[in-house]
Amino acid sequence: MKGYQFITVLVAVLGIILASSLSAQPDKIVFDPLKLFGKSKRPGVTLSHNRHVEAGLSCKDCHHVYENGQNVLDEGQLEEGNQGVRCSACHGPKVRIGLEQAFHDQCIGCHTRLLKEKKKTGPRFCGQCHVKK
Amino acid sequence: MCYFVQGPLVLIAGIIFILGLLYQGIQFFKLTKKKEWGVPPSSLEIKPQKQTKKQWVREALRTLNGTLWKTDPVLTIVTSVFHVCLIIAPLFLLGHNILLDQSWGLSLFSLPESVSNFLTLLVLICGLYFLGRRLFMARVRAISTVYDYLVLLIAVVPFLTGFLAYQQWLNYQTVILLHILSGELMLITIPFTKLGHMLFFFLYRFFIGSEYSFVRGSRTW
Repeated sequence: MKGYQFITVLVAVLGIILASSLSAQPDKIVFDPLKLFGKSKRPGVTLSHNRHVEAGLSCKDCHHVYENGQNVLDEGQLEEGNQGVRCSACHGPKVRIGLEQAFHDQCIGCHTRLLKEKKKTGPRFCGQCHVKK
Repeated sequence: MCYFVQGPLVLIAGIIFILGLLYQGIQFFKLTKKKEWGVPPSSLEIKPQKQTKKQWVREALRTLNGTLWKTDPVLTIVTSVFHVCLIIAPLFLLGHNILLDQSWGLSLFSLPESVSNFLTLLVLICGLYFLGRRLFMARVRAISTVYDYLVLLIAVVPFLTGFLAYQQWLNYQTVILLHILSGELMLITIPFTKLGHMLFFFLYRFFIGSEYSFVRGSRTW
């Protein structure tokens, strides 16, 4: 009987830990061009973080800080509200790969690669991400 | 199938388009190589006279009277607008340039999307005018065949589907795939149908000009 109680408590604790770690990642991430660029050429993009995690991607497949061609990002930094890990922290207007291009490269680039490998992939054309409401 | 249309077929269509135009260009020069008439005595040759700018402008305007501008000004305007928009809209379209940049790392300057949208709309309106002419004007209908309607369709469908895709009307997935497919069809058919006037327009202008004014017969350039 004691063993049963122990397992129940263990499962509950693990459940709480798992839930709190998941809740740290908001599922829907909204890229609002008005907030990011101050102007809007197309409607904003909503991205499902969970779908990318469920697809088996690791954090560093998307999030990156490159030094000498190596992704040296500390995953512990990936917290909501940490301004330092936002894409715009590096991809500003004066950098070779600006914010808009960084988004496009990251999303279309990966989706195209998967398509070429004949794997299940995400959208590649304008209106599939920039959906008019 | 979807992958083939979005990936390899784009390249195949582009290669057929370029090689096809090259082939037709070479054919054109080959076929016009043979001199059909002897060179007339130089005394008969009309040498262009030196003109002042004012004379040149007057002469140019006078020449316009011998063109379609005099006989059908509406068609002249519609067809000019159609052709200018048809070239400009897809070349300087934001979406195309972003995709180009994604695959080749280079792209052209992009017009604001509202401008591109307007140009596309103009192409569609002009296309509708051409269709109306073929359907309702007896003299045009008399010389229209299925081929003419088909060529008009090939030219206009990429713009219709592009417009629908931008507005996100109907099913986006289907529309964008049709858009890509119709664009590829247009590229492939340009060198081998009368859409080839994209190239031959320029060649014929010189060819006919040399036939009639330089009086030397056949291609002299």
